[in-house]
Amino acid sequence: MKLVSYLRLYFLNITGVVAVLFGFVTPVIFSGVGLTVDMARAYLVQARLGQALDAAALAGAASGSDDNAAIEAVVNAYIEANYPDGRIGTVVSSNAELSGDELTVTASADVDTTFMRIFGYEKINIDAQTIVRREIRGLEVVMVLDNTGSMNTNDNISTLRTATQNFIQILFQNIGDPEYVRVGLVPYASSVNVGPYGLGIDVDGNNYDVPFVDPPATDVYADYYNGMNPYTENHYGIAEADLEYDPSEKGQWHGCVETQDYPLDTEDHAGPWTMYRHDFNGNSYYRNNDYFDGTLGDGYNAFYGPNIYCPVQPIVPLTSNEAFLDSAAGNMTASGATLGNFGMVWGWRVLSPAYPYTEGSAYDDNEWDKVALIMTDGDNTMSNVYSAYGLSDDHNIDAGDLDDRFAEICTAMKAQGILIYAITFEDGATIDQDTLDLFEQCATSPSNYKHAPSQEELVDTFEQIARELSNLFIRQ
Amino acid sequence: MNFIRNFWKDIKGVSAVEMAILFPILISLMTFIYDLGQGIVLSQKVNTAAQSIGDLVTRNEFVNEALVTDIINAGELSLAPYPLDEFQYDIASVQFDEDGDPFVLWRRTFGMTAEDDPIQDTIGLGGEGEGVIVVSVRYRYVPFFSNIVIDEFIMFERAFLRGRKSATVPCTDCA
Repeated sequence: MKLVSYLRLYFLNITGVVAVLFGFVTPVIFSGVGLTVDMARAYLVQARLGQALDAAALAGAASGSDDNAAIEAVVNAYIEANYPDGRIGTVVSSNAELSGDELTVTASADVDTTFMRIFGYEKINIDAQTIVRREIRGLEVVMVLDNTGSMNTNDNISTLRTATQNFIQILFQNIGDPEYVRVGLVPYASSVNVGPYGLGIDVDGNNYDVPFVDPPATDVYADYYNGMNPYTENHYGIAEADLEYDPSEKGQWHGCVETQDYPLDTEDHAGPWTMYRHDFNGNSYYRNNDYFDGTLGDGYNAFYGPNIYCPVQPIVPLTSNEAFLDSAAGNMTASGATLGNFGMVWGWRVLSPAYPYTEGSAYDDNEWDKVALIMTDGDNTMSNVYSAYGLSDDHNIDAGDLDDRFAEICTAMKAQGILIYAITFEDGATIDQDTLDLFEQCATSPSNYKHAPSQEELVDTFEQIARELSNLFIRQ
Repeated sequence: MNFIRNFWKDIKGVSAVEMAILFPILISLMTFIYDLGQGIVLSQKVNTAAQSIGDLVTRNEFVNEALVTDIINAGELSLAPYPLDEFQYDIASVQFDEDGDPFVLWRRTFGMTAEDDPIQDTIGLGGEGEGVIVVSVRYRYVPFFSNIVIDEFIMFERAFLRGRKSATVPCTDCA
């Protein structure tokens, strides 16, 4: 009874009730606030850990390594960078596991509690996991290389051979699986050599595709075949109908082509092209019929033939055959004028999936990347006699036009998503500033443009690009 | 004297007096929770902005000025509905040389100074020829109930990401 009346008095007494009530409620309010603060901190940790893990997993997968320990090192470095000390919470453990193409990264972080420790919870533990799938993407690289006469200076051509061979070796070695690398070579000088492919035959003599090279409408060399040639022993005289790809015969076609007119000479198109037949014998042109009058001109030299200034090494279409590429690179020789634009456009034709060279993957094929590397040792020059543009008497295209066309081709290639490396090599010869600028602008970005002022630097530059490219290979 | 004695004895209106004493405590508790909540949401948004700008950059093999601008706009969207006048950023694409030292390929900075710290912090994140995108962002958080419990402060986040499609992410036309 006594307790009941006490309670009644208590409830009836309304004085000072707010403070008392507040006294009762305070622990509840403060632990509510404390809990909110702790949960909010945990939430922040979880969000940050998730972000750090995503960045780390992507970096680990993109590092290209197959070694679990190496990947884990990358993953840990990225977790540390994205979740530095001094933030709320601490990463206590992380683990990366590569299984097939799948990389699983897990991590765990602790966040110290502020209020919940009153109830014995000193830390909240947060786990996070990210799984990324590695996508292996292959690399298609075309090397457009200066095989012009000036490369004979200081035997630069042999440095270029070495640099190219090293490049190929590093690329194949770093990528490991040749299935994911395709390299093409386009040596250029006064023209480019499309090889037997132009007549629909591959290097092994098998059918390749529809021929894309036609014999010239009138081949002046054929006149000699018709009994007029006093130099049959030089085998210059071959009937147009009998022209075929045969580098062992001086008078035969060795693989070079004449270009088509602007703007086709800046486009990736299907041809056909006309055989390159240099008409100059050291003294005059055969084609203009102003030379042969029954007597031999002065300065006649059996060295000259229809294939002069045509690169000896034909184009190598994209291939994964490292040994073949290595020997092709070793066959490059130097002679002729610098038609960089013509080399570049053929590089594009080799990379592009379109005829005449069809090895290239589709531009929108996400499994392959396309890269073009263009190298020169001098300014573009136009032969004052004969080049891929034909007899110089028959056109008025000068080196400036070649530069303009070169720039156009670079722009068009970049628009197709091709990554362009441009290299200027200056050993013995000097390159003018316009050409340096032209090449720098041709490159995808200033960091893709390299200037090599010596033979050693040329080799270094090629090796460096090969390493950069092998890093490009695996991606997420 | 009587007045004072009466004041102490008189219990009428005690509730109101008590309320007057407790009210500031309750109000500051409320503003604290409100500002804390806002701060947490914003802090996460700032972190997301840094990471998503970096992520969008690293999805490309190379970028150009216009694309970088678009990416920044996208990153700023992740801050909505908070105002952008307090948002500052510094985005840099770096590459490592043969000694593993980073050099800047391109950089876009707004509001803050382009310091060397973020660049140096990338050391160890890759070998020669590889690169990192480092995105630093700052946001000055001004609590709604400014200075009652939580003072305004600068939120700062830095994200490090590697190119997904390429070892580095160069820019084709950046100044």
